[in-house]
Amino acid sequence: MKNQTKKMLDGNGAATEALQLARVGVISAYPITPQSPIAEKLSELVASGELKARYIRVESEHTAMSAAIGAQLTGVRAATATSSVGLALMHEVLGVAAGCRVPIVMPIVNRALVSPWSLWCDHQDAMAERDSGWLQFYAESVQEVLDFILIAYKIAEHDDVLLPGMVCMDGFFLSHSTQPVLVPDQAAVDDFLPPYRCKNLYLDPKDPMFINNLISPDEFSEMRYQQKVAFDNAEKVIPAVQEEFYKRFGREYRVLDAHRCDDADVVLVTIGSMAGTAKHTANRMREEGKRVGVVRIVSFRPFPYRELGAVLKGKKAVGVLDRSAGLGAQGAPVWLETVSAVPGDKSNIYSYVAGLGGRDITEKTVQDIFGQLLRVGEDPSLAPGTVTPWIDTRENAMDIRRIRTNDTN
Amino acid sequence: MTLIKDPARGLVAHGVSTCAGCGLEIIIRKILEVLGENTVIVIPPGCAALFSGYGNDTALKIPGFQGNLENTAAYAAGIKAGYEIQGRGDITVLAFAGDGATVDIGIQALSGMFERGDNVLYVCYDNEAYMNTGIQGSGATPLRARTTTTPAGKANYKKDMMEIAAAHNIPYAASASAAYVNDLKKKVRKAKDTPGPSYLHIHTPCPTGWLYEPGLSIRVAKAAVETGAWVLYEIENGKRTINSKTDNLKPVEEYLKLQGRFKTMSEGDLKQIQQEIDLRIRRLREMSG
Amino acid sequence: MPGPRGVLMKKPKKNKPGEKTVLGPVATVFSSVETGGWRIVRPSVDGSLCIRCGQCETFCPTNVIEVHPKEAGEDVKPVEIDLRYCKGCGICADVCPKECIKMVDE
Repeated sequence: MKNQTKKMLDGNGAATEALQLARVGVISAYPITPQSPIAEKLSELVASGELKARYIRVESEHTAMSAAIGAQLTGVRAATATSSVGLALMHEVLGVAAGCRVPIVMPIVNRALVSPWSLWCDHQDAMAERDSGWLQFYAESVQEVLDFILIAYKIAEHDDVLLPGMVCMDGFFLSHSTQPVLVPDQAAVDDFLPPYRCKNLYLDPKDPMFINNLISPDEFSEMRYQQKVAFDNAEKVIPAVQEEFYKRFGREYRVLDAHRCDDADVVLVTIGSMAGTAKHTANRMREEGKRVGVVRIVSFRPFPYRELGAVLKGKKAVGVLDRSAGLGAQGAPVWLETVSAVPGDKSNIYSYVAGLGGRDITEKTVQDIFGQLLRVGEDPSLAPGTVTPWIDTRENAMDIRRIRTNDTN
Repeated sequence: MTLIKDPARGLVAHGVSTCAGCGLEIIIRKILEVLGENTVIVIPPGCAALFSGYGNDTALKIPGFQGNLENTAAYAAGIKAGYEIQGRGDITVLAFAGDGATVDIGIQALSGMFERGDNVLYVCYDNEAYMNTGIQGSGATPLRARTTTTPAGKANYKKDMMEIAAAHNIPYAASASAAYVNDLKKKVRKAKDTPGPSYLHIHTPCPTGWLYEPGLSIRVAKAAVETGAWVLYEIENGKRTINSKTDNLKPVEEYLKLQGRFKTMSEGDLKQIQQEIDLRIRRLREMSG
Repeated sequence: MPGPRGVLMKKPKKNKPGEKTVLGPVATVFSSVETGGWRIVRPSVDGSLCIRCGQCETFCPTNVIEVHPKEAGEDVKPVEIDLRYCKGCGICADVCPKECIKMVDE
């Protein structure tokens, strides 16, 4: 398409391009691995004058999100980005953006929460915010990081939505992976994304109001319900904006991406960059005659339960591969939502956990999962001996710290 | 957007659910009188949140935002940056937080704001405890004062926010008192006209927490200054100027005896408090040359 | 029509000209609580002792005291107090240099 230029970018670079194209006016980003290049590059763009914005060199992520909300309430797009414990530190304030209907779009570079300490890819950080009232999108490629951020702005700022949104990219696997990306021209983006106007609640001495004061039990439910309606509306707005994006820029997106599922016996539900490996593995296995399919969740909030239920209907077995543990529940987060989405008998939907703390999700991991699914798809009674939910965890997990001791017991 | 249901003189409603005799109520009116309509206020939860209002009702005519307890300075910094990039930097951004929200949980955000030089007017109304939640001790509770979490009297000194502000090299910091209204208004004007961060730390008498009859708020606040328990001074680009009298001060007992929160203090405690005051004042006089 | 989870939800009313709905927590009405109802004592001013210094007006927390200048005329009280909001705190009585304000039972 004539309105785009090819560049080699990694995920962080793509996020920075997108924020710049969205003409953000205030930036308040705090460095954290693997997001730091976003904070750095935005600072350079402001310093060089390429991006007309105020850069608030905040002293924590909690302040980063607070300052962003304050700024956006005055009528500019405010940008911040984070990962892992940085997102956890923002937790208290995420609810303010959501409840006050401030449509901030924030790139999240997914990284494990502590403890144990990890620098690497895991979805626990964003999953911990699944009830925050933020939209959540997961990118599979660097192109998608850029595209989803632009799309997210249009969805978030829509009059019927007015919700903040996270665009998630896998730490290192996407943030630091350089891929060819088609970057829309500024003029084309300006056409797609009009300048930001204050809507709904705003701070302006010419039109005063007091925002975010104490609300009684007589009104709280109604305000929470307003947010729920926004999520319901988002279910219609998201496909509409994705459609418009396709017309302008030629890349088609949906709330979920179903790959070879129509005639599949078994399907693996995935989320994030692992979907690429899963699709590649599925294609290989198809060549061997195995009827496997892959579904990728693109919009996690709102969760595309209708679409997913339709795709998974009648499958012999379904696996859900989560990149976070969801401890204490019957299964991991995406599995719980999948099980809820599929009508009827759910006993053939299996939860898998892999790729935690930066562990690579390999072809072998995916093959093993498909292998198990195919077996139990034919004969569910085999499940107890066949399905190993924590599929890439080593068998000696309980024993990895064997130490000397003086105890004689 | 705000509909005026009950007219009021000035920018603050007359009927607010603050305690009878509330010192905070006096100072917020004076401050907004000086700053005027072209002001946006950020208020954390606490006594000042009573001015934010409840439900669809507010006690303020100016636009405002209620933040969290620890990030008043952060919201304020963001709001100011948003206005500045849109060429509306003339709008005053007022951060209006209590002592708990400033010296304890809010000190990180405030320190960041100071260090970056954000153009925000930060007011700390210091009623010397977490009053709105029921009189719990804060870092600003003075030595030997009783609160629900310092029932035997606070064993430590009050955090010195003025000196903490000075350590950040901000252009203007000043201490003030609800009992010295002309001095307060002058300082608000100076703070407003100073580019960059300014900090006002205002002694705010609280009958409910300090335990005295509501009608004595001004008398108590005055006694604090007349005994040196509270000193009015300014720090302008590192230079200290003392505005209140610091010689021939009344003995601090004249201030402490007016308040129930010091009733359990011993003779030794009183001595300690007096010594601390004497030392602090001597230091301050040396530093101000 | 039945909404999600079977709860009956009304569609929002159509906006009249000059009217709109906003979403989320916001206060859009400037109003006062009738704090005068809290009082157990009220200020009583002896106008003959008043020197119109303005201290009572300056320090009234609710800002309901107005001190009128002599020029306002003989029949205008020197000190006017809006009793709808006066909480009876007694600061005015305490700061008056001429002690012309007394707190009397409500």
